[in-house]
Amino acid sequence: MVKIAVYGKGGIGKSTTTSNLSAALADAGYKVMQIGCDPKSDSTKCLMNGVKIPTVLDQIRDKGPTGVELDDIVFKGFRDILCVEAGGPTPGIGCAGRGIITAFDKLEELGAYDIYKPDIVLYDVLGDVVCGGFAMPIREGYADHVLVVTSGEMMALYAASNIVSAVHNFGKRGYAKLGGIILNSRNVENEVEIVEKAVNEMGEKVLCVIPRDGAVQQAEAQGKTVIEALPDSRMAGCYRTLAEKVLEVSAYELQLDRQCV
Amino acid sequence: MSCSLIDNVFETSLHYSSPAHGSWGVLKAAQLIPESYFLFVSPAACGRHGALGARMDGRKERVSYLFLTEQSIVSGDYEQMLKDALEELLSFLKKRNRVPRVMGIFVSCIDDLLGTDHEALMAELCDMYPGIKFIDCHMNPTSTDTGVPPVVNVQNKLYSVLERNDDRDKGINIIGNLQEISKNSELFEVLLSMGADEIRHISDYKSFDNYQDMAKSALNVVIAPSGEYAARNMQKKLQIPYEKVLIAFRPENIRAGYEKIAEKLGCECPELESYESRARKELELTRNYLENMPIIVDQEAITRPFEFARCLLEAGLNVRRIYSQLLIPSDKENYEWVMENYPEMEIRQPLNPKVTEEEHVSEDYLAVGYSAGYISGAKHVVDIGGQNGLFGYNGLIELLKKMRETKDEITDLKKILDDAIIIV
Repeated sequence: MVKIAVYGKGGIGKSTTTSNLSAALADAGYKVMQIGCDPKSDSTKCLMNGVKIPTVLDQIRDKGPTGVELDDIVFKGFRDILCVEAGGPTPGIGCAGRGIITAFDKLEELGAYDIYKPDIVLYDVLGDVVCGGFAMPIREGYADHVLVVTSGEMMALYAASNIVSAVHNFGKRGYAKLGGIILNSRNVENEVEIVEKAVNEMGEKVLCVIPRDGAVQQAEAQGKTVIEALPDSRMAGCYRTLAEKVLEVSAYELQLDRQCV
Repeated sequence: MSCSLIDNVFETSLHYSSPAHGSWGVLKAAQLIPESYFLFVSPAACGRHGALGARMDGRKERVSYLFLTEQSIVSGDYEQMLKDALEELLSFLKKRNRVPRVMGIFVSCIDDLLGTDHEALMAELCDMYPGIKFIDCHMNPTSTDTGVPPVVNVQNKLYSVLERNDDRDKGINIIGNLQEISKNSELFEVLLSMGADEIRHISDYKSFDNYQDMAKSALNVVIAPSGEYAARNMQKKLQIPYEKVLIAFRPENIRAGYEKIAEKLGCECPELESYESRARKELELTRNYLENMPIIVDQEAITRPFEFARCLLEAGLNVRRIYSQLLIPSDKENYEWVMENYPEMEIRQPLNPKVTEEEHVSEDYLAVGYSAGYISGAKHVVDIGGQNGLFGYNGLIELLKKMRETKDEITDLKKILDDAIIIV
C-alpha cells in the first residue's frame, strides 16, 4: 500500500486533481481510497456522481464516538474508489486540525486500511501545514509521499514553498517524503518557467504539468471527473500521465506489496 | 416507571463531583510502573488533583510539573520547551542518583488540540537518553466517551513498556485491576492448581527489570473491563493470549469465570464446591445478621453494581438503591434482571446534579461505597473504594464481613475519606 498526501493553496485545484488522479489509478486497475481532509468535505464529490457523502465527524456527532462503523464513513464511488470525508467543525468555530486528528484516529480504530486493503490511499488536504492537525497526513504511518499542487501565481508558489519546507523539516522524523510538485496551470504568462525556477530553488522537481482546459469544468458540471465523463479527452490523457508519474514515485512501496503477496 | 429519580436513568448531564468521588487518578495508576517518573505537562490547574494525591499518598518524589502558557501553545515552541524541561529534570535526577527507567510525559487535553506527534517525539527522546524508556500518557477527560478513555489508555501504557520475551513460563498475569487482589483470595490456589507457576500483578514489582517477568507469562486474565484494550495490545505485541473474567460476586458467576480460565489453559477446573458452599453460607449469615437493613450499592466501589445487587437480592438481602453513573455492557443482563424482578429499585447517577436535590435517607441504611454513603447520608458506610482487591469467593466473603461489621457502627465518613486519600 502506498499513501500519498496532496497539499496546496486553497482553491488551487487539489480536489479536482486528486479525484482525477484517483479515477485514473482506479481505471488502471488499482484499488484506491481517497480521504478528503477539508471541512468543506467536497473532495470526493466528483467520484460520487456529484453527491456529498456524510463525513466522519458528522457520523461521530450523530452516532456517538463509539457508534460509528466503517460502512457509515466509507462509500464506494467511481470504479469502486473508497471515498471518505473527514469533515470539520461548523465554519468559524471549533478546531479543524483537531477534526482531522479525530477522523484519522477513527479510521485507524476501525481498521479501515487493514479491512479494505487499498493499493493506493490519497489524502486530499486543506491548504497548508498550518498546525499539528494539518501535519497529521504526512506523519510516519500515514503518507509515504507528499504531492504539492501549485500554479504560477505568487501566492500559490508561496504556499507550496511553505509546505515543501515543512516536509523537509519533518524529514528527520521519518515523515513523508516529497514526491514532486504538480503544476495545475492557470494560464499565467511564462507559467511553466516561473514554476520550474521556483521549484528548483526549493530543491525539488515538477512532476507533471496539467494544462488549463474547459473539459474539467464540463465534467464537474455533471458531478464527475474527466476520466469518467470524458475518458477520451486530452485532459483525461493528462491525468493518466499524472497517474503514471505517481506510480513511478510509488514504485518502491507498490513493489513491497507485490513481494508480500 | 416510578423506580427512578431520573426519568431517563442513564442520561447525560452536568456532573456533580461529590466530596467522596475520586480515588485512582491516571497519575497514580501510571506510577504503578516500577522505577518510573512522570513529567506532567498542562496548565497549572489541571495538575491539581494528581499533585495533591501524590503529596498525600507519598508519590510526589516521582512527579514534576511543567506548566503550559499561552505563548507555548500558539508559537509552536511547545516541544522545545518540553525537551528543555526534561534536560533540566533528568540532570537534577542524575545528581541525586534517581534516574528513572521509564519517563512518562503526561499531557492534558490541550495537547490533543496541538496534535503533537508523540510517537516521533518519544523516539527522539529515547535516542537522546539511552537507557530510559519514554512513554506518552494522556489525562484528557474529553476522550471519556470515546473507545479509549483515560482510564483505559493509562492501563495500556502500564504494559506498553514490557518487551516481548519468547522464553515463556507458566505464569498468569492479572490485569485490569490497579489494586492487587487480596492474598486471601482463593484465586491463587485455584490458578496454581491449574498448573500456573506464578500469579503476577504489576504491584508485585519494585524493579523495572523484574517487572519484565510479566512478559514471560502464558496468559493474561483481565478482571476489569478497563484492562481489555491493554490485553488486546499485549496479545499483538507480546503474543500473550487473554481471557476476560470480570470480577463477579454471584457464586455461579465466580465458578463460570474459573471454568473459562481452565478451558483456556486446556485443563480440568479444580473442585470449587467447598469455596462456593462457604460463600453461600456467608450470604445467608449476612442476610440474617443485617435483619432486612436496606442496602445501597455504588458503582464507584463495585464496577458491576447490578451483578453485586443481584447476588445480594437472590440471597434475600434488601438492596434498595443502586448508584451507577452508566450501564456497562457486561452488567446489562444483571440490570435487566434487577429491573424485571425489583421494579421498585431506585437507580441514581452519582454524578448527576439531581442527586443533590434528594433528601438523605431517614432509616438506617448500609451503603457499600463512599459516594453512595455521602450522597444518601446513610449512617453505615462500608469502607470500600475501587473494589479494594476483592476477587472470587473470598472477595465476596470479605465484603460480606465488612458489611456485617459496618452494621454495628455509625460511620465517621470524613475519617474514612481522609484515610482513603480522596481528592476532589
